[in-house]
Amino acid sequence: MKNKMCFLAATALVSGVGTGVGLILGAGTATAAEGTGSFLQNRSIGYVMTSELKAIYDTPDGKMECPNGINDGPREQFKILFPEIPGKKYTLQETQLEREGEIWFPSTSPDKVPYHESQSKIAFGLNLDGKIGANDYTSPEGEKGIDNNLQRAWGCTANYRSNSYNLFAFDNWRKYAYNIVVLELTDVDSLVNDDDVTVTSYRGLDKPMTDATGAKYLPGGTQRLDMRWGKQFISKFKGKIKDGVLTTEGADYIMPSAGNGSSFADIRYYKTQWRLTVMPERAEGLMAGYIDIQDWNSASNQQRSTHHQAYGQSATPSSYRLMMKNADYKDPKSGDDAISMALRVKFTQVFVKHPEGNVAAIDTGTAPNKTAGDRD
Amino acid sequence: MKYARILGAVAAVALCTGAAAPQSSIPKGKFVEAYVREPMPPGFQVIVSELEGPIYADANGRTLYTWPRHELRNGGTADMKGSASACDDVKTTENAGLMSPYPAGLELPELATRPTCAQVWPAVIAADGAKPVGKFSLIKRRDGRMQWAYEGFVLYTSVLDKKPGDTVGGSHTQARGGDSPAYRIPISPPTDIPGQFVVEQDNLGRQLTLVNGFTIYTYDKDGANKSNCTGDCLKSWAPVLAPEVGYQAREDWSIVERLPGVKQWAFRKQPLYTYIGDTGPGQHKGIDTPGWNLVFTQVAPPPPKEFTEQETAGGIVLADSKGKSIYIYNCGDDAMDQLACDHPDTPQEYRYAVCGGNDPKRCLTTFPYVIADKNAKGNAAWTTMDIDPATGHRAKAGQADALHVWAYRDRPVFTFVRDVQPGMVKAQSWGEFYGARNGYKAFFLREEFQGR
Repeated sequence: MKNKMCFLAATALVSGVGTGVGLILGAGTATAAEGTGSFLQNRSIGYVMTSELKAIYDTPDGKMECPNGINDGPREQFKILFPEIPGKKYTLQETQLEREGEIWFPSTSPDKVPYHESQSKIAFGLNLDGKIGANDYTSPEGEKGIDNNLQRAWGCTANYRSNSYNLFAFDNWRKYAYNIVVLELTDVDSLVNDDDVTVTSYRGLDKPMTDATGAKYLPGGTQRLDMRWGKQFISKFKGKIKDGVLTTEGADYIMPSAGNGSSFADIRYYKTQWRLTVMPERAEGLMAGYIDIQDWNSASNQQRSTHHQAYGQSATPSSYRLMMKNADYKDPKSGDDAISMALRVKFTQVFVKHPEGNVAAIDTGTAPNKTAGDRD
Repeated sequence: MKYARILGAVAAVALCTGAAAPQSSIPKGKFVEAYVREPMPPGFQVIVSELEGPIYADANGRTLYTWPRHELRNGGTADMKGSASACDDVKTTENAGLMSPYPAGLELPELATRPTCAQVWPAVIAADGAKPVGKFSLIKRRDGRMQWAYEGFVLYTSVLDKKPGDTVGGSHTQARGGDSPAYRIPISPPTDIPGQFVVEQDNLGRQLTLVNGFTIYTYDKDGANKSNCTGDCLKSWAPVLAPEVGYQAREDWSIVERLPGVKQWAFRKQPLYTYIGDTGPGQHKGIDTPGWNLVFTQVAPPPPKEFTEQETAGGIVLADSKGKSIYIYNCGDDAMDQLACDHPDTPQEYRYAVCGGNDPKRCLTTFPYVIADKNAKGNAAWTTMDIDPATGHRAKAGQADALHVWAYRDRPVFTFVRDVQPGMVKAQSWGEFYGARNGYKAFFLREEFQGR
């Protein structure tokens, strides 16, 4: 029951793609159409991302997961830290600039104001490490071993909960030209069952096709691939399709991330896995992995000013503390800390147009390329 | 990587080092933008600034600025059209709370030495008996004196401008609203161009575009007032058509008759085109086709020779000799007079908050200055200055530990510690309000996605 409430709120954010929630995530229960339609060409199919939301599990009143209430944001924290006292005069330096300093250079020292973790035992996500640990979650469908410590860190922050204004903003950013995410599935024999497919991520160069209202995404558009500016966004994932659900192994991935004010602050996701119900006209499900905490903190502030963060009562220094406290991965190359998480994602089918001289399976060295030269 | 070459310029010199250096994005050439002569008050003059194009100046060559009303998050400030100056000779002591979420009433930094608005922006006072002329009018100040105004906005000079033609006080590129401070903008006579065109100023110079924002191009294979773009060429390039009748003769402008009755605009004798692949304003996809160039009325003074250009996920950025992206720092305070805090002569506390969490030493490693050779030579845009690393202000003469650094528009430029390899721009939009208010913006030479 609780699961459905959360999902309905999120599903409603993107119109026109309504479908059974359980179907989206429930591996093994999908009833996807046979992948023999016109969209599967040369054993490949492309999708463009149309929706991306942080997958935070919540209930309408929040009492179950947030018994201490929803966390305060920048405005509320400011009032606590600098209360109005008759005769007391604050300087800009000891107030605003002190807070901005913490925002841009957060620390793990104890928070000056209470900022609570989610107490939920349920979370969306995937079992990233293949283990069932004491701190792992159970998915809404009952799957054990879910790794999503971001649920713990963010679950009581209004910014990331259902019906947050900012969820609409984040979703809207997917329309920015900088942010077009394309997945191409190659070596596909069937969209229902195929034990060996390759998934490659790219940045696309075309605005996703919509109906005349601009609100409903339509399949059948074309996406040219950005092979010049967008090389860093190319990653390759080895995967399989079972009963219409694509799952991949983990690979590091950088998602293009432009926000307000000409900002673009790309975020690294480590050991990223996809679990998508794949259909001829669309795909939906989860992207899960470990999000780089420093990248997130920078991007969050670069794309949303403190003013905007205040809309969603998101105090990034406090969120940072909880993320670092719950960090459960360290990138072996950079040594940077990361935390397990999941995104709810939706895609619409597109025809992928490779630049002349390029084939679908460009070897980025991140996964075997079994089909180079296998395409037209 | 072929980007922008200016009309008539010789082949651009690649800034990047290395054997296979790509062609530079930096346009070259010495051209002066033509402008419309307007009647001016006695003693006023037009100076063609290398950065800002033709600008008005007073009899001493000091650039004239307006301070147009600007709406901010919690209200507006600056001058209303036709109204007396809002820039008084009274020291502002508190912030105004114009920028959410912080409240008003906080004591401003360096209050003891904070100047008044009028000290930083001296009013352009009219002589006794002065008469309005053309777009220049007279508006009575609160102190009873008469102040010159242009198009209804009262005029100021800037204490930061030291010599004729300086525009350190403000730039046309800052007049792009949003959450930026209420900037002072140099005033200019109208550019002498046909009504189909406008000039947009960016880091490369003053670029000519169509009124609808579409980019225009010239073609290397065209002759003087002769188009050689025919046949298949016209499938990708559309001549910018001129009216059949009724155009007026202008310096730099001519008409090419492609066919009887089909006339094409030419600028400095080069026919003009749009690119079929540009589907919206501000796009410039045509420059990746060899032989096609952007069009500038003036190009900006070039960056230091040792600087490089780097391709990023968002376009081409200016970088130092090691390939680290260059950032400029923007800052305006949240007081009613919106004084600048982005210059070494202004308070550094704002910058310290976002470059080092209020730790000046941390700032030196997180956002290091770009060190210049002691013999480095600058130009109207790029100069060197000595900075006291302990204060962020200008160093004293002979100060032993002073840093000799590069500056753009008289403000130091920086790199970012987390840009660990060329092509990274991790501090783009770093700071309050995406770097527009108190923070950093990368110095882009080509913005491929305009942030979106």
